[in-house]
Amino acid sequence: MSFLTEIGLNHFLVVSALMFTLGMMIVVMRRNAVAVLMGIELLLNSAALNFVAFSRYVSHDLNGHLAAIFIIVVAAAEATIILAIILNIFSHNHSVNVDEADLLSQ
Amino acid sequence: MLAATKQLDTKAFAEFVSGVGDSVAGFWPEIVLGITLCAVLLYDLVLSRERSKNTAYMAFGGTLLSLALVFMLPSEPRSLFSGMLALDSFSTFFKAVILIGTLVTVALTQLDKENIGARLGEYYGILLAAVLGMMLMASSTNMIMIYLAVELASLSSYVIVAHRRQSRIGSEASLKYAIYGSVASALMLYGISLLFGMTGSLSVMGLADLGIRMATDVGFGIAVGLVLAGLAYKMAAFPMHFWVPDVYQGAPTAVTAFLSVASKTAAFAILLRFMASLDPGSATGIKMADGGLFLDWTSILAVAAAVTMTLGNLAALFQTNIKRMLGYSSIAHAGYILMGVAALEVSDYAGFKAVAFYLLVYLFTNLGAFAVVIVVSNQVKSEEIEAYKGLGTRMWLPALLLTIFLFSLIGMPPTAGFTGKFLLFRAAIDKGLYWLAIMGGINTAVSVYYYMRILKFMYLEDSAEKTPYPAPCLLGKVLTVGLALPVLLLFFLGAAAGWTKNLSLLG
Repeated sequence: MSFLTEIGLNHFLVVSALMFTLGMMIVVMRRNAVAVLMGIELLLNSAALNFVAFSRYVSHDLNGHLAAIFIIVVAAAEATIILAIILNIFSHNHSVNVDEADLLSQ
Repeated sequence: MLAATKQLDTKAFAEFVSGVGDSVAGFWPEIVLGITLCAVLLYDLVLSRERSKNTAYMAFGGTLLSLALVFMLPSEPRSLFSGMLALDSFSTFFKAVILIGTLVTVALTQLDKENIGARLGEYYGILLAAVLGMMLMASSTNMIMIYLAVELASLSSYVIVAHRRQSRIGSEASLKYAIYGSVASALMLYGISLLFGMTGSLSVMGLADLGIRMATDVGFGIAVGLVLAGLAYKMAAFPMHFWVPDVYQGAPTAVTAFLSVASKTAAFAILLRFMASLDPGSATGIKMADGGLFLDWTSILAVAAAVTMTLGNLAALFQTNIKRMLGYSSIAHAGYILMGVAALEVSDYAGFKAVAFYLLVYLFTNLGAFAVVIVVSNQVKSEEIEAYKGLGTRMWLPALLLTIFLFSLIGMPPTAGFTGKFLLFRAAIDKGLYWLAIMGGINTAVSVYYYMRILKFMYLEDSAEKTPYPAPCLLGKVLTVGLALPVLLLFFLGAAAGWTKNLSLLG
């Protein structure tokens, strides 16, 4: 039962893989654009968790930590831009449902 | 352990500082571009929101200066900023291609001004930010640097696609572009994090011995696959191509033109660097312990190339909107170029040269085609292919130039498209990918139909109205003729092929 008492690299990788899967499922299944954005944030954070875990257990330097900080910054910028775009589409469609944005694919 | 590292090693620090100083000498084009983009944004914010023409001049001048500095970069390959960027003739070539595309885009924007609308100062600032990201994409050798460069280019592209706020299809296009794009770059990031775990380093060069060491690892295959999926999005290649037609149709035409050439070029630059690092010398693919191939990247890229060009060409057959058709044609061309990447042979760089030359040709050809689309839609007020009826007599010059660009897209002599396609097909055949070359040939034959359909509308069908349209404005004439000349000249000048001949890669 050592996997319960000692936290190792694999624990982090499993959590990150679960987060990635959940994020992907949200992106594919939810129709609300804001929920899709949350799914994207999960995808990014799962990668950030990977970086930090690998930095702690594999490379033993600060590269992974720095990568995680960069990812947090990029995620914030991305969220800002996508929210602005969602706001814009709301003023046209009065809805943030991604399926209703179908003017182009007819 | 932390206490020891906390103590500042003054000698190492001095070396680090002088290294940064040396690196700046190879970084001037990006610095100039960065200063220009700040200047444009500040000018727009503080001095004037109305005089958009001045911001256009500033953006054009800054890009031109940056381009001049790119040509003055030392040709000696070296690493900048402790392994973050590479300064080699490969990155210099792609930076030049991207900057030429930007110059034309700035001019196209002025041509398409009525359509793009107000707030052009912001638009130019963000356009230059995208260009900066793409230039960094062309030279990154660190995987986090690659990710940041891709995100800088992508985030700025989302904003300029969304620039026409009042247009409903514009905002729809930007929503699709942003959401799919973010997912694609998140996939790439996850792949990078796995590669970091396997090598313990973020350098792209570190991948070479990983390719041998991790020979049979499924996780390695997944990690590389995720990175390639993220890049495929920017290249508009299968399986991440579905956004292209919607975004191309919804974005302002100048932005569409920019995305179709600059974004694609930068993504192919990363792909080439990545595949060259992955490839440990002569053998492509990852060898299993018993000598069999576990993952053969040549075959995977070849299949992706074949599927990409087929999907693009088949869908293009049924389009009624010319921008949407050029979007599908752009997917098909990503397929042709991938053919050269599949035929990548690191030892003699044949695939490299073919891809680099084709991207240069595609730059002029596609920008030219979009320039004509803008000139025509300024007069005709339509982007439907039906509206091109009888254009051969009503607007003879744009019609003639569009003919040249479409011939080049088909790959017909005497245009540069023929030379480019010839090099790509030869690279594939030299590599022994006969089936791929045949697929490319069939696809080219299919593509003749939808390009020729436009020519049929222009020259063989009559419109009810016969009076000629007024001649395009001076900028329109200069741009379209200026883009048609290289398309013709690159066919005749072997020198251009010679320029791509001595491309070399750092590492």
